Amino acid sequence: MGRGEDRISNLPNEILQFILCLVPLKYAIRTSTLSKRWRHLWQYNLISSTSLQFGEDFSCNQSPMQFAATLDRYLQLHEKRNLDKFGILLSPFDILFPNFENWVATVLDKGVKELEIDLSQGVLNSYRAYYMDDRMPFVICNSLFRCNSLTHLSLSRCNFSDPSDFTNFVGLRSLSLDNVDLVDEMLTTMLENCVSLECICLKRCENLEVVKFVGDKLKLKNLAIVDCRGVSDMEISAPELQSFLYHGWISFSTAFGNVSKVTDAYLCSDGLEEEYEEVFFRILSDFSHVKVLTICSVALMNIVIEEQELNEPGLPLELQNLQEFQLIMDSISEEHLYCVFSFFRLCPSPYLEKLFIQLPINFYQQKDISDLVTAEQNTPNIVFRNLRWIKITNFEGTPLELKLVKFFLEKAIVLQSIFIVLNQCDISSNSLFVRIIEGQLSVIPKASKDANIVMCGPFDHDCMINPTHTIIYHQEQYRKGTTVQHDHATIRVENIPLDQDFL
Amino acid sequence: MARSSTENMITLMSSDGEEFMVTEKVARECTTIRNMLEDDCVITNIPLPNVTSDILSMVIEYCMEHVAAAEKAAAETAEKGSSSAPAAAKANKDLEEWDKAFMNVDVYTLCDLILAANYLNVSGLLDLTIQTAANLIKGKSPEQIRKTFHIQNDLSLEEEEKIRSQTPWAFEKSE
Repeated sequence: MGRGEDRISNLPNEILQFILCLVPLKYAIRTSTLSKRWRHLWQYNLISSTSLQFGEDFSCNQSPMQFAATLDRYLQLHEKRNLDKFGILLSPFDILFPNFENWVATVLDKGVKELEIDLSQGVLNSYRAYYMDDRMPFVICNSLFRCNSLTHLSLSRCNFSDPSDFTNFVGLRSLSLDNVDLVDEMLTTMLENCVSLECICLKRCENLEVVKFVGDKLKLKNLAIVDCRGVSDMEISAPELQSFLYHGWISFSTAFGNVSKVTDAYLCSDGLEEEYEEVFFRILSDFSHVKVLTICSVALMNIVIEEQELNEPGLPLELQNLQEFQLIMDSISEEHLYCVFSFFRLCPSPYLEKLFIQLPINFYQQKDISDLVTAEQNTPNIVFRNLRWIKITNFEGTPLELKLVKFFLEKAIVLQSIFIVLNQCDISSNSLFVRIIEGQLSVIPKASKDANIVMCGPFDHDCMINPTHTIIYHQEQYRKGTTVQHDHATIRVENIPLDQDFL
Repeated sequence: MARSSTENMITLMSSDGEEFMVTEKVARECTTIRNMLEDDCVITNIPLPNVTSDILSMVIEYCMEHVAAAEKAAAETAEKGSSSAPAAAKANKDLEEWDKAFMNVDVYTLCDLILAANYLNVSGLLDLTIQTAANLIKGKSPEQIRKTFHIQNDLSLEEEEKIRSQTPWAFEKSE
């Protein structure tokens, strides 16, 4: 019995089928070229899947015609079996729009509950708001609106036919619209009809002007509004709302009614730091009860300006429940540090336990914010009584960054660990660069004698501690890979005949 | 089901005639054997003509480890009234580590273990071995998979090229 013998090919079909169901569809398909024995085995993976999501790898590595033919055949192979989830991403394939209606109709017939259609078929401009390719967006077919089984719907770069009827979407719990021609009235109608909605994400819906999420019956728990630049008025009063994410211009009037259940808020401006956005402080006051908060450096500036120039009577503003705070720095300078330090004086957070700071990745210029009086040379007299974990990402070891670390090490009396995530290099190589930074950090006096300083690389799993808000919209990645999921209960029992003619 | 501590011993006999004495509890980890015992409760000697002694000893080793872990967890729960979450998490992690080390075998043994786990119906071991085999396929090029499992390619160059060209999206450069 030679150890070099091919044992795996002699395993029974149902076992090989089970093995292939545990790898992503793409890798299952690759086994079709192993030998004649493996030619069709991969099909079990497709046939038994209850979730089909075709991502960037699927759309970018074949021609539009191949894309259409392959997808048609996959759906045909899947026959009349049910699908729970279907996701598709189309690259610039607008000639496929006619096929598209068919695919949507087919998967709706399969009882799909979660549908993701991403037709973002081009490159966004540098402000991420507008497409540069002059293509016409796909108008979503009416059959979609007749479907009443959907619980999750995600659309990217498609338009609604007008008027769209949302009355069948009573069971819809999650709605995500990216670059959709949604207007105020449609949003209102949608909220009236989709009574089960718990999760709404609106990205780059440029036509929205006045957004209102108001009503005692709203079930809304999660709301995200990202880069909707037309918004001039925002009113939110949602008794069940727990999570509120806002990224974009903040220069409009807001009214936050009942947001008492909100526990986490992400409030980041996309504006330039020169244009201090005055609304920020007021928004922060409305969310001062949250446990988890992410803000950007523009917000810091705004708060310091409020104090210095406007003598804001609401300051200091205590964040009495705050346990986790994340700060996204657009750039770093003496003034930025001053704002960071001042923030903890102006917004005392006595129960803060976790602090995350994202330093800028590539900052080209040191911005000088000369308006600010940085006379306060000595750092404010603050003690962090509950701060246990700090993670600073994109650390490069500059003097300013070291000063930032020093500030926290000197004032956090119960600190357990500070994780320093270096932007570059392999930590394990123990390079001179790493050793120099380690040396510099080790001499900083620590208020908490037992505090560990942990150095890690960008993909290190040692940095086990991560923020609640993991997506940073300043540097958002949109692409997804192809994935399938299976209902394993059915895989073992069902003996599915293979389609021999089809690859 | 809770059993009295006076444990019956069962003898399992491998295809090559070697005998393994195990407690009934360990033997019952194999659903196939459990069914036999439930059909015929006086049976004490079970021949397993499909499993060789080296593979059978590994299956028994796996079952013993998992029975011991389950007993330990049950004892701790009984002692403290309720199981403490961190202790349970640690025990789980330890068992996972053990499984991982247990799977440090060549592909030849792995395939035999898959067959044995399937035949004896040890669901935990079947899941573990199948996942291990899947991990050896995931992220690899066809050439790498062939090499890992010693698979002889009996497709002609033209046939292989035809398959690739039909689904180019799956054959981009391997990550």
